Amino acid sequence: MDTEFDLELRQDFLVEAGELLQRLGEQLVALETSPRDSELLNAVFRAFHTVKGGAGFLALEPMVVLCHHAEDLLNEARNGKLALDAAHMDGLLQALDLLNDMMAAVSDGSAMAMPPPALLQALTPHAAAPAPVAAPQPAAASAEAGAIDDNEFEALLDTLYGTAAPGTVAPAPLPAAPPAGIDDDEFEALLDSLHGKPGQPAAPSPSPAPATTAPSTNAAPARPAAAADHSVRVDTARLDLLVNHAGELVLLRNRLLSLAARLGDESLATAAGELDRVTDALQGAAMSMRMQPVGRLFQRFPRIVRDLARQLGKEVELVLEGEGTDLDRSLVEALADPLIHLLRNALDHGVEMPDERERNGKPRKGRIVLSASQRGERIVIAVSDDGHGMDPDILRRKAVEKGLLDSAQAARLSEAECYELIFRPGFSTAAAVSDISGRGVGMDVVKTRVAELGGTLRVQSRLGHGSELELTVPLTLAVLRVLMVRVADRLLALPLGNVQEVFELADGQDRELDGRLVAEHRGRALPLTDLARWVGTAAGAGRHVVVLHIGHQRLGCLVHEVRGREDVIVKPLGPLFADASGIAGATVTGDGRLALVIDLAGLVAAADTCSASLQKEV
Amino acid sequence: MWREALDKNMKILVVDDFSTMRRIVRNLLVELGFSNPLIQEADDGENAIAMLRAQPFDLVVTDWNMPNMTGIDLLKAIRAEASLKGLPVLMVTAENNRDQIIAAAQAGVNGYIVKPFTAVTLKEKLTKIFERIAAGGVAA
Repeated sequence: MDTEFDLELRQDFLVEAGELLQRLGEQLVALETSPRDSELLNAVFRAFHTVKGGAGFLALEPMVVLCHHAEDLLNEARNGKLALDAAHMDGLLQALDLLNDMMAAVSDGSAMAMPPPALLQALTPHAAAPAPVAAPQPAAASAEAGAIDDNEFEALLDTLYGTAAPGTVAPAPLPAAPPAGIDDDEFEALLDSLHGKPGQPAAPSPSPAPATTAPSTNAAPARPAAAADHSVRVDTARLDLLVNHAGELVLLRNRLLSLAARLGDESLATAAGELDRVTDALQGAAMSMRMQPVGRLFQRFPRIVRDLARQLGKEVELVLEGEGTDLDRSLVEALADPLIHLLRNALDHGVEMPDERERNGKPRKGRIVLSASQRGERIVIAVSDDGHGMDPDILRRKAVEKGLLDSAQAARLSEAECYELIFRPGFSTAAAVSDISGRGVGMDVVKTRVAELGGTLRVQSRLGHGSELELTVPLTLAVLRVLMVRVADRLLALPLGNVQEVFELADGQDRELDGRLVAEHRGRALPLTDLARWVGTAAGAGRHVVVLHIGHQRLGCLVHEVRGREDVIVKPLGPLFADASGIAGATVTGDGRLALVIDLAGLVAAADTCSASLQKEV
Repeated sequence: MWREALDKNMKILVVDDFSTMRRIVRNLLVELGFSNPLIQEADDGENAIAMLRAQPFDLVVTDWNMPNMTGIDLLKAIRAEASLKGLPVLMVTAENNRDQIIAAAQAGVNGYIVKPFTAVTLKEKLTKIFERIAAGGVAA
């Protein structure tokens, strides 16, 4: 095999075996609850088996050894000789983890070590007995118990078929069980005895074996020959390229449409209208290719929840709903971390210990539902638990203790506002930071991350009954719905999902507070950021305010003009502008002008410096 | 005079549920001089039998362990169908397991090969299969 082929093969293996392993995680967790499900056992067995086969060709010996042990264990279970217990499941899940590590090693070309003996021991069906030290196998395969070599096989064929080819004659009955070990000669002999000796004329008349008389009675109904070929695997980079080109076309279409409107030429308008339709269809098709079922994201969670529950001594069932909901590929990845955090939170802070649940008249086993659904142009993902819910009073007290609010402010908060407190930085409802939820990441980071994706995060809770966190994100990241604003002579695009409202500053409504420019708005002080200063134009601040909701923060942006809503395709700025913080990319507007798309997280960071510099000059 | 037992213009069906493995087998066959366009693939026994019925093939290389219809069931289905029963079948197995291979031989397998294997081994196995076919014919 040449190296180029090796590389391609490696890549194929990584993708395909990677998918198998990902499914395997889910299957193993399911297997733990129904260890006698033979279909599941077969599927799990086959996954290890298939990975082993591929790894063998790539000479990934540690992987082969590990899969082989897992396979042996599962085979015993499959044959009913062994009931899988928790220790076996732990072993299998560890094996899966290690396999994933090994895959990573394959991917970056680093060396992989042989699996630790303790793990192999855990996968040994009779774990009590010391595992035999793997002695090097003698060169002759026939020495291996239960193996067969080429000569034995040939002898076997001779015995069965004489020297005829199998399939041309019915097999002769086999003599008494041959000794363990068979070689090619033996196989040939077996074939000979089954099919007759060579040299005899090849008569077309078959001596029908019982099975041959009834052709295809047990065979599957004929399907179109190409049934297996309805899908092709495409590199995601090529898909992105297609989406990118489709996006360019949309921009061009927008320009042409506004040109046609301006010129008032009817035939141009008709052609532009046609182009409009085709472009929409093309863009829709390109977008749909980027869609993936959210189940791809969900399937890794049962394992995580299972491990966590064990670690915490809790009993939890994770229910997945709406796994078929389609989501943009880039969102699938981007949502992984926020969702893991929400699940951890539900497990750690939501679901009670089994004894406590029992005392409260609940089933010992808690229930976490992870669901996805599409609502119009948005995807809603909810994590709900049937735990003890949140107590608004405790939240109020905590907020005061942490110095986030004074007691008067806390007392004024509505219940819903109390729940929102968990998204404040530095707020954690756990008395002590546990190593489960409190990995230095708070709910505030989750909320900010979701906001960066153009999404929102909401919380609901009922004391004693559980909590629900609802995450809403746009269907796709490729098309962004923005509010187009003008600052001096520049166009800026603000993600519409984060725009709360727009108002015009009245005289005397804005003032300075602690060195920051704020506006008195709806009875509260709204911090203001002068976008003219931020983009560096000499023009004074505008008097129009766009109120943005970013994570837990509210921010008013001063602009000169609010132009309206627009759907735009965001183009990255390229490596030259990699350091331009606060700018997510650029886009071309309908009239062919360039607009910068604002990155809200970067804007928040910049907001403080803008206000600070304001004070110096005033 | 010795002649090349392997016809390089054979139509071959490679059956495996793991596309990486199909690719490996295909590549080894091409390395042995078989024509790439004449090699087709199926991802399980059911699809394989449908393809075998739809067009003529000269050789089937099938994996043993597959969902829906396993290699051994595919083999039995081939041997049970009048128009296919003489089709040579090479079984790819992960284990050199005597009982399995005897069962496969009884079901009418022409050869077996244990993963992982090289092009040289594959050639040996194929040569043996077609030598037997050339020499044998059918016993009375």
